[in-house]
Amino acid sequence: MSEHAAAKPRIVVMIPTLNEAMHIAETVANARQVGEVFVLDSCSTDGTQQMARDAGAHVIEHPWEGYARQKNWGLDNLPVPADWVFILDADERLTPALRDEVLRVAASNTPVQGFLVNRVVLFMGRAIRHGGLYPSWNLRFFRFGHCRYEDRAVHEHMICDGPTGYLKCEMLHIRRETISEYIKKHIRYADLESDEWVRLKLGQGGGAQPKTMFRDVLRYRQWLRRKVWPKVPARPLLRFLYMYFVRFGFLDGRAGLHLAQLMASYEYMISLLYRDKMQRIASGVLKMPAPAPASPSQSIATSPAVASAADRAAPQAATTEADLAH
Amino acid sequence: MTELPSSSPPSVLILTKDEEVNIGACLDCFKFTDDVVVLDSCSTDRTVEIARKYANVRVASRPFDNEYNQRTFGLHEIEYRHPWVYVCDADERVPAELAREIVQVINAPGCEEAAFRLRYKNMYLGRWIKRSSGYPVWLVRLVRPDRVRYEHRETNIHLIIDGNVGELRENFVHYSFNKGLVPWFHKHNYYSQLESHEAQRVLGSTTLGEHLRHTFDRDKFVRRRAFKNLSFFPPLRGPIRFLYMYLLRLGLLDGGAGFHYASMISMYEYWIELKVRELRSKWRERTDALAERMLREVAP
Repeated sequence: MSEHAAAKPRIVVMIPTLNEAMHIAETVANARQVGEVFVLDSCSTDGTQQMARDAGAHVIEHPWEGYARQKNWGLDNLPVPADWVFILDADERLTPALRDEVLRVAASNTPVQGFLVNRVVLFMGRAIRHGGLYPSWNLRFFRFGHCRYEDRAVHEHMICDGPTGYLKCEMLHIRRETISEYIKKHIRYADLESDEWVRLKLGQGGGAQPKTMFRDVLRYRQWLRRKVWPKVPARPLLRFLYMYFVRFGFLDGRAGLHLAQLMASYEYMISLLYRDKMQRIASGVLKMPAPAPASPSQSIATSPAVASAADRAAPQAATTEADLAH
Repeated sequence: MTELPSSSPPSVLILTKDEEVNIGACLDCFKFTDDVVVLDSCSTDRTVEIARKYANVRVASRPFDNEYNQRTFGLHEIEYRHPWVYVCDADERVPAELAREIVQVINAPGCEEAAFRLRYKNMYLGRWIKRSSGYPVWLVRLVRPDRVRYEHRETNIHLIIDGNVGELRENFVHYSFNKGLVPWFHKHNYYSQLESHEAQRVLGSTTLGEHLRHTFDRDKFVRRRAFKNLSFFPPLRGPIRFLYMYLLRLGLLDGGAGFHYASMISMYEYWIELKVRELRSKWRERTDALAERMLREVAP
C-alpha cells in the first residue's frame, strides 16, 4: 500500500452529511484508509461535526443548497489539495477490496477521468442483490476538476469531461434504520409523490416536458414515472410482482419478500393519498399542494419498477440513488 | 316534536388540537344548546379563532400532557351550566335526530341514568363503511360529570360510571379521515410498533415449534393459550385480516371504500408482522454484523 510514497496521488473523500451521528465516526475511519477526509456538513444539530473532527476529518459547514449544488460547492471549496475525489455518503463504506482498487487506480496512469462504483445495500441482515436494487452504479470516483454535478433539483447526475470507466469492487450501503423509521420515511415520500401526481393531474407543471422528453434517458424515465405509471391499474400488486418475480427479488430470501411488500405498501399509500387529495380538493376543503422544495432529508422516491429499467439501459447516466436504495 | 318548556339541553365538551378543518362543522351541530366548551391544547391553526365566532362557545386552554389528565380536567375542572355533558371529538357530527333524542332522554321524567351510550357511523371516502368498521360499536358520550370519572389502566383509559347506562337509538357520525390519510399512516406506524413490542413480550423466547406442539397438549388451557400466542406469529396476518373484514364481515358491501379500508387495515397488520420479525430476528444487529464481516481484512 505504501510503495508509491514519492508520487503518491492525493485522494480526498468528500462526505456530505446532515445529522449522521449514528454513522459518521465509522465512515470517517473507513474513508481515511484511502486519503484525507472532508466532511461537508449542512448544519447538523446532532453533533456530527465534532464527531467527524474527532475521527480525523476536515469539517466545513455549509447550509444546504440542493443535492447538486451542495456537492459542487464542496468540490469548489476542498480544504486540502486533491488529485482524485471520492464522494461517499455517511451510510456507505469502502470494502477492503475497493480501497485497494481505488489506491491502485489512482496511482496508475489511467486515461479514465471518472469511475462508476457499484453499491450493495445491507438491510434486514442481508446483502440485497436482486429486486432491481443491484447492481447500482454511480459515478463517485474521479480526477479532481474533471467532473461536476449537473445542476438540477433532484436526480442530479455527474457530467465528466473525459472517458469514464467502472471499478470492479463494490461499496456497502448500510441501512441501520428500524422498520418504523423506514415506514415513516416512506409515508413522507408518498405524501410528496402524491402531491406531485395531483399537481400533474390539475395541470400545474410536473417534471416531464413532452418536447424534450426523449432527449435523454432521465427524461424518458421521468415520463414513464409521471405520465404512464399513475394511470396503470393495480399498481401495488404490479410493483410487488415486478420486484419479487421479474427482478428476482425472491433470491434475496425473506428480505427480498419484505422489501417487495414494503414497496407495495408504499405504492398503495401513494394511490390512497392521491385519491383522497383529489377528492378533498374537489370538495373545497383542501388547497392545491405548493411546489415541492428539494431538501436534504427528503429525496423524491421514484418508482423503482420504472426507474430501474431505465437505469440498466443507461448506466452512464449515473443518476443519484434516490430510489428505494436511498 | 314539541319540547316541554322546562326541557334543558346538555352542555357540550369538545377536545381539540389543530382542528380548523373540522371545528366549524362540528360546532354547527350544537346550535341547540347554549353551553359548548372547546378545550383546546395549544392549536397552532385557526381552531380557536373559528370557535370564538360562536356565541354559545367558551374556549378553554390546557397544554396536552396525557389523555387521562386532559379528559379528567375537561369533565371535572370546568363548570357546566347543565347537569348533562355530551363529550365529543371535533371530527364527529351530531345529526339533528340525535340532538332531539338527547334533549328528550335527559329531560324524561324519572331519568335515573348516569350516562348514555350510542353507536356511530364511520365515514370513509364519502360513505358509511358500516361492515368494514365493525358496526355497531357502542361508546359512552353523554354523561353526568358528578357520577362518572376516568380511570387509568395501562395504555387505555376507562370511564367508571356510578349508576345505570342507557342506550340511545340514534348514531353520531365519525369522519376519521378529515385531516387526510397521512396522520392515519403515522398513527398506525406507531401503533404497529407498540403491538410488536407487546407481541415480543408475550412470546418471550419460545419458538413457533413449541407453540405448535402446545396446541396438541392434553391440557385444554395450555392448548388455548398456545392458539392465542400463535396469532402473534405472523405469516399472512395481513391477508387473514383482509379476508375476515372484507368477506366474513361483509366489507365488500361497503363498495370501494370498504375495500380500501380493509386493505389499509391489512397493511397495518402486515407492519405489525414485519416488526415482530424485525425484533425476533434482530435485523439491525445482523446487518451490522454482516457489514463488519464484509469490511474485515482478508488474511494475506
